[in-house]
Amino acid sequence: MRILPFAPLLWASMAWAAPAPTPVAPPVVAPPPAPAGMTDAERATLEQMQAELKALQDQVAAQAAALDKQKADLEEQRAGLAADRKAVADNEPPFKLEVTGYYRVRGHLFGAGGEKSTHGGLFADQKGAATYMDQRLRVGLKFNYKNLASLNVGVQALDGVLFGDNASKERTSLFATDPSDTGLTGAEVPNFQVFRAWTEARLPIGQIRIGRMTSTWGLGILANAGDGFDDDFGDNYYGNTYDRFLFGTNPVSIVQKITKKEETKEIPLTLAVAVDRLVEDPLVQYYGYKCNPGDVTGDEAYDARCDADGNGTTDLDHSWTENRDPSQRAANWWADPNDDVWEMVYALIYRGSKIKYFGGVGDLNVGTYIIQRLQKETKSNVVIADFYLDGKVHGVSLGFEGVGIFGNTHALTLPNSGADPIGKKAQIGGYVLRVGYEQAKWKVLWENGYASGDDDVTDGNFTGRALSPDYNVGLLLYEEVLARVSAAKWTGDASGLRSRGGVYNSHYIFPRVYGMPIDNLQVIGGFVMGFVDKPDGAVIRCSDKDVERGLNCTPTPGTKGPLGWEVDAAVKYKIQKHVSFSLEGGYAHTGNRIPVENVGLNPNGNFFTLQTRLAWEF
Amino acid sequence: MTRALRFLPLAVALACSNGGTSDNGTDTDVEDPNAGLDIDAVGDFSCFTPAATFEATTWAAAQVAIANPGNVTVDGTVEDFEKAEPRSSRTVSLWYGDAVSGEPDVSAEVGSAAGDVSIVSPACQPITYRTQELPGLGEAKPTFKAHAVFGKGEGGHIAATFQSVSNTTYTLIPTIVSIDIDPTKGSIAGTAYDCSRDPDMLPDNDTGKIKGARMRIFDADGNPPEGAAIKYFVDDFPDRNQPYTSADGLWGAFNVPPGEWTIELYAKVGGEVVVLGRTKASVYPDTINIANVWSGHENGVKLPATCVDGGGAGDTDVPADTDVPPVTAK
Repeated sequence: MRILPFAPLLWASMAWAAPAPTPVAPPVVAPPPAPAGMTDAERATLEQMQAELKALQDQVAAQAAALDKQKADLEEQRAGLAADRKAVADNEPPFKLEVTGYYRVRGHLFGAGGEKSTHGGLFADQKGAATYMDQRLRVGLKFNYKNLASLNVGVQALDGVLFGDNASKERTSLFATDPSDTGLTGAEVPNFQVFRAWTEARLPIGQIRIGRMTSTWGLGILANAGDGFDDDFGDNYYGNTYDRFLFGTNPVSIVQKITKKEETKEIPLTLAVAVDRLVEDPLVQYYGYKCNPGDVTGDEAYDARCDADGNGTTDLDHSWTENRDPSQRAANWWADPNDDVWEMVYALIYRGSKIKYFGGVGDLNVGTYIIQRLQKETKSNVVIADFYLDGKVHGVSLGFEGVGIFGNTHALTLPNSGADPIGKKAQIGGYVLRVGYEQAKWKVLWENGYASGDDDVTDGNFTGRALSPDYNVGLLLYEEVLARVSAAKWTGDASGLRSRGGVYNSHYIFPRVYGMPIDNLQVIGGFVMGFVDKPDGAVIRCSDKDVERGLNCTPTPGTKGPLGWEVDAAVKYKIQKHVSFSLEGGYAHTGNRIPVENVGLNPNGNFFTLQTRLAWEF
Repeated sequence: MTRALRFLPLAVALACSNGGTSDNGTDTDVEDPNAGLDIDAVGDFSCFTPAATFEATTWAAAQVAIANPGNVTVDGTVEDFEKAEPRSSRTVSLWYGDAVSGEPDVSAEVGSAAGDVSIVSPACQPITYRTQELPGLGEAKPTFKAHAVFGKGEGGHIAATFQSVSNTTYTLIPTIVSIDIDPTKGSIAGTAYDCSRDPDMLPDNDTGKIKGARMRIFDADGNPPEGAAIKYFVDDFPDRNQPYTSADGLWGAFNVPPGEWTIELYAKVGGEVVVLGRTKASVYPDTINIANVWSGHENGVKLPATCVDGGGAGDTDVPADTDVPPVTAK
């Protein structure tokens, strides 16, 4: 048999094939003596094989020696590099100033209105095509000390300020020169604002941050920093900022340090724990009960809490909450812990870049984000759970973020007629799912998403919340129309229920195609269609079928169908690395679900916009 | 105090309904208007003999106003209904004939940030007032109140509050109760009162507010307003599911087409559903009309005790218009 004679060769081949960091030359094996009874031909073949084997062994030995030399050379080079690096670092100034951010100008044009409202005017009383331009400057300054510690400051100016003098700084408009700081609401806005500032430092086991900092997570449907240009259509106008203490670390590294098992490859896993102080003392005083003066003991309405002097007749007069001004605060206004609102944040995320999976190399981010928000005096204990996945391999991309908000609160003073008039149970959900396929010159993407709605804000269940207003879905349906309708309906103390342009009380689909014909040029086409979730009868009209399926809303005759649809297109071009240009257009049609005619919008439900953006990015 | 949540009741007070809407948005309780009216109304109905129909009701004895009550200077304050805070930049107008017809008989502009306004009105006579913002502000809706009666006051002066409903309140209350408010239509709000209520009492006084009553609205031909919805309040807050007035007595009707409407108050008394009172309201597009209904009175007018013989002291220092006949409130 020939198995044994081939064994050394097989071993040698395997040794070469294995990706050992430092190959070692195989031991020289003496040729075995020829067995007795072998024919001459067999003997000759054996000798030939032995000769070939020896030649191979010599080759391997030579290569092993060469590798040893290369290894020694590499170590010498590494040492040299380290020395160079140290020398460079020693010569570097201890502080470096790093600047990030952008300045953008965005132009908006809406179709002709008035009698030509079929042309896509935004407002019913619009005389012709309506235009305005707004702007934003956001700059992040990082005072970096040897990458060990830093102070980060975020400033913004002209945030949402429209072009021109819109405050009549010049009495006669025709003579206007200096522009004002007027925002889209018509009110003046701060010209300059330090809106974020935090410091961070590296520790042996992680990193800490403290201060007023940005908060962003996943695809951005829950926490969205509102920085930069991350939307295919439209811009960011808001952005999350929190007063936070955060500790972040790589738990695998800690375990390795503890067990003293250091892997050559780092696992990009991050664990963060943070505490946010949301409110020290609300300016709106919370009581949680109402007081009317004049109720006497024995009356059904008598409440001893409202009888300050205890004489059997109520003497206090307030609602569940009462507006105050700062002058009404005592010196110890900040000392009461019961009215503090704070939250714990826990995040665990794996950020894999160019990793091997599913037989290819790609990126993969997976994480979860848990928040527990608390306020004692309103008996609020709300948990927000978010799961995020974003990966791309073989040109196929999958993105998902889902959020659920659960818990109990008495902080929402929209009372119901139950036994617990202002008790609310939060049951809120939302998600976005994206599936795409990308090649060098083109890409297709399917997206659908959901933001749960609330058909009755006065019952005991609080189920509605829009997705982040900086997560843009199209240019018109959500960004302009529903934003304006919800703003017109949720007024005054209920303004927190507005959509602000985010996906609201609906499911939607948002397929897109992308073309990248040349470097720095991108062409995008998209289609949006929105489907109602739980219409409330006011912001989104209710149908008889909605009532039949158990919703507590007042139906409007003839109401049916989806919210509406929209087609969008964009051309984006990058100029000279730092300057970008975007031309975007959209046409939308809303069905009778959205009461556009009752809030002064184009009663035909046809909307058209053309928008441009020119931006400088650091 | 602020009325952070109490604004909702006012809006609701605008209407009363049979408790639901049909596919075409009109009241559906026509076939069974008493469905859900499962409690006896709580209130004093001793001033008249209620019956199942308006015609069969024996109304309270007509009130005859004292002779020549003269005019009274109303030292008014214009207040935002929700915030109960004074409002400037408002005009108060009065129609002495208790009907909005032509130009108002008198108008006065709020004189200061304290909401002060001084205006002359006939005493002991129903009038209609309107508070309206100065043009271009975009803060408040024109707010009408019909059948308001000012007593004789003291020394020819009487204090009063003129309410102004803000745009915010006007929009938010219907939204909360699932109504898509139509600016081509109007709203009516009011309080259901029993016999013990005196018109001179201030709104915060809970005396005489009826629990367990309903409203119905109809035109001269008895037809309900198409597309209108009536809601009731609970604890001064609008409630989608409340089938009749709660202890606050408040109700509201939304999306009532412009025109003349009769509002009828009914309730279960002694186990029988009976009519308690009526009033009339003129509805104008995109406005709010405050129309209280008084038990025992068939026209929405009730005179303060000071206006009725033997009802109390008071005098006027403005010469009476002798051509004005004594008012009889039914």
